[in-house]
Amino acid sequence: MSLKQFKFAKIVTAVLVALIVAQNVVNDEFFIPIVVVALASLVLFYLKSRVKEVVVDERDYAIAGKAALLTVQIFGWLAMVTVFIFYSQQEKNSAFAPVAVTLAYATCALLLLYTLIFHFYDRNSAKYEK
Amino acid sequence: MKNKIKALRTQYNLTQEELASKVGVRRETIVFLEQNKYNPSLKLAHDVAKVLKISVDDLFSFS
Repeated sequence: MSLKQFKFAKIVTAVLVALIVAQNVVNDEFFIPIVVVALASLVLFYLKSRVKEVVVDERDYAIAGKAALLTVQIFGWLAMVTVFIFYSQQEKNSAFAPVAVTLAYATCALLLLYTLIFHFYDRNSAKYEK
Repeated sequence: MKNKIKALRTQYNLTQEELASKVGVRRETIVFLEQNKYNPSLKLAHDVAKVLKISVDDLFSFS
């Protein structure tokens, strides 16, 4: 399979998944979307393994690393500000407090996960370098 | 950091696609390398130098 065919297959799969998920969510059906997303991931993983050309190289990994770091930093700051705003405004709307707490825990989980993965690669960088 | 990749690739009648395939990267990476917009890993620099039959030291120059 060529890279061009893989990219086309990826777009077709994304459109099909979006259609099926949207249709089922509207109908309050949540099991089918999970199965469809999992199946689509497996199909794309299989198709990617069949591509003979290079799909991702060291430059992509370098860019992905920088993008991930910047995303985490921006999201962390934005989430922190949002949490403070929502928490300070909880008297105006009772829904603000749970949203703020959920966002705060989600941000902590993301930062914890990032730190764990960072330390994993930091200790094993020679083994896992691509 | 500057390099002679484009000149040597042309000398050996290699396309960017062919060089990319030989060293196991995407064509875009070769484009960025030739434009001195990407600093390659030591492994990639070694692989490119090997394909272009030159030493890494001669292929890349620091200014």
